Amino acid sequence: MRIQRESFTADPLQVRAALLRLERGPVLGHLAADHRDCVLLVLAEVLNNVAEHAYGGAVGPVLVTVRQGGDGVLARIIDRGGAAPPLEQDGGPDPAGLPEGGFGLGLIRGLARDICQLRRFGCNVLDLTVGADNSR
Amino acid sequence: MQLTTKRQQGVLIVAPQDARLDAAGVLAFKDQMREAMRDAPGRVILDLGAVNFLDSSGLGAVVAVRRFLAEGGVLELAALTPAVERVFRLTRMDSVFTIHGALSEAVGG
Repeated sequence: MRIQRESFTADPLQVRAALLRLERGPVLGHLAADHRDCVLLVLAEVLNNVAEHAYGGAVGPVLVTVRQGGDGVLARIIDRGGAAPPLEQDGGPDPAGLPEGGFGLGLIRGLARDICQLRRFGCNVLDLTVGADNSR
Repeated sequence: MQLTTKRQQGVLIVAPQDARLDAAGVLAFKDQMREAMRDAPGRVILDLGAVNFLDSSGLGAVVAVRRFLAEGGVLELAALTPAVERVFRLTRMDSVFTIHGALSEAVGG
């Protein structure tokens, strides 16, 4: 089974570097361009959230694992920050209000399925799947 | 973050040269856009043809630079790559910008 793990500090530059490694790696490197773009976007949004919120302004470690499963890519993201708020359903910001933020969760929910958030041993564990069929 | 700018038929065309407009790059993008849009004519076109990755931070930055427009000015977008077009569509922000296909369409129109 193809699998890739990336462990790094959750700050924007290291998030970018990790996404570039994943893009060329053994799991995402084999995907069709649209599917790969969607996986990278979902991971970027999750990791930006960790970088911005998990460690309360400080930085801390994050571990990302991706593997191929069926028609999708399964991702697990683990951080040791404060308990993450649930990825609740809401409509996201209203475009007419020209919002400058708040888009991330909508993108995650729009592109990922089987989202599962757990708190285990002082860590946030987020599992999700980005299916090839959902890569609109 | 590198931007190229040119004026054509009374329009300012600004083109980011980096492939990524992400959380690590948005502050530099906004600073350079402020500079590029100083004394801009009313119509500014952001040519995103070189950008193949845009996350929600990058999207927020594109919205934010509208505030550097002159009074009554407009910011339009051109040449979105598939990955960038997807972000605008999924967030429905494609409804608040005029989005052109090729840059030549944008300037001709």
